[in-house]
Amino acid sequence: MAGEKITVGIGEWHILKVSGILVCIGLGSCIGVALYDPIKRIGGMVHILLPLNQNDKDSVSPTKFADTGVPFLVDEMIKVGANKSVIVAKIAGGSQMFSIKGREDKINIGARNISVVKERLQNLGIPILGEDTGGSFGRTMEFYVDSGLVKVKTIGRGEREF
Amino acid sequence: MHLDILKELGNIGAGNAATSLSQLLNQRVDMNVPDVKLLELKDVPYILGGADVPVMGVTVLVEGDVDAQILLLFTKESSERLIENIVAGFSPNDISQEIRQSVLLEVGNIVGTTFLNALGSFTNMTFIPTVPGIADDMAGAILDSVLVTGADGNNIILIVIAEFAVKGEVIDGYLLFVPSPSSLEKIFNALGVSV
Repeated sequence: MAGEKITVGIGEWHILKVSGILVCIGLGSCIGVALYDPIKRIGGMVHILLPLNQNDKDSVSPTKFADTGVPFLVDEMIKVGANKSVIVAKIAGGSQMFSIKGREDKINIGARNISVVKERLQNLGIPILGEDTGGSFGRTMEFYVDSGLVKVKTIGRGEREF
Repeated sequence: MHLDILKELGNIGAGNAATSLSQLLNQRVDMNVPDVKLLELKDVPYILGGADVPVMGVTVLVEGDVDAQILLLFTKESSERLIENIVAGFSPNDISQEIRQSVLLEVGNIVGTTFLNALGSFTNMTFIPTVPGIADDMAGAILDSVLVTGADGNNIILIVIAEFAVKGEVIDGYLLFVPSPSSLEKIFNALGVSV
């Protein structure tokens, strides 16, 4: 049925076809981006840590960052047969786990992650079909590649599907 | 070699923190440091049992000569036992979630700043802690929200495994010192060890 379950760690990415579950465990300020070609049932997921890749592009993994990670995953999906014009997105994460007086600017990484991910998706013409972002709590995101369904689990705040 | 120095540092910091905690609680608290590790940030959830394990974490940002962050982490179960020990004598009904959090916030504040003082006197550097913040959630979510400039999951952090003993009961905690990559170099230089 659902098939194999693959955990996508921080800065990692993975693509599955037709079946299987891609999972980002314990997203805080990080964002899980699930991209889906519903015709060919190709699903890709990236676990983004930071908004902007300010390093030498070759020296680090592009999928750690929102600005380089989103286009990277789209390219990889196209390489395995996805059609860019039908790809849709679902995203989760981007929390602010700590609140520290007087340091609000420094600690809003989650909010910046959300805005860069959305901006990149918009530039690529990829619509966001569902999201569970922001707030101050952790999330585990499961992406079911057979249907495109995303489940978001929390501690004490229930579960959402979209 | 530098792990020995760091372990010594952890022990001194822990000893001082235990003294401060004992004064606060008006009962004997011992803190022992059985182990010190240098790990990449992204590998830390594994020592806590996984990225989705519920933990409580108190953090202070460190400013001054460095850009760093201190995180004191307890598994949910350990944090409850620690809090129970500290508020012993009160009826559980009187202890709201808010009081529990504020107890742990104070423990994190004391342990964090005492560790910083020890590190400061070893290195002759100035460390200024911010007010603390607390989170009660998945280990991965707390750790991916580390706020140090240049933190990218691959940066090296110092983990002091801390055993708190209150009334003879041993409770495991983890004190994480997360410097920015350039701050780690500064501290190692000040300690006279190579990175």
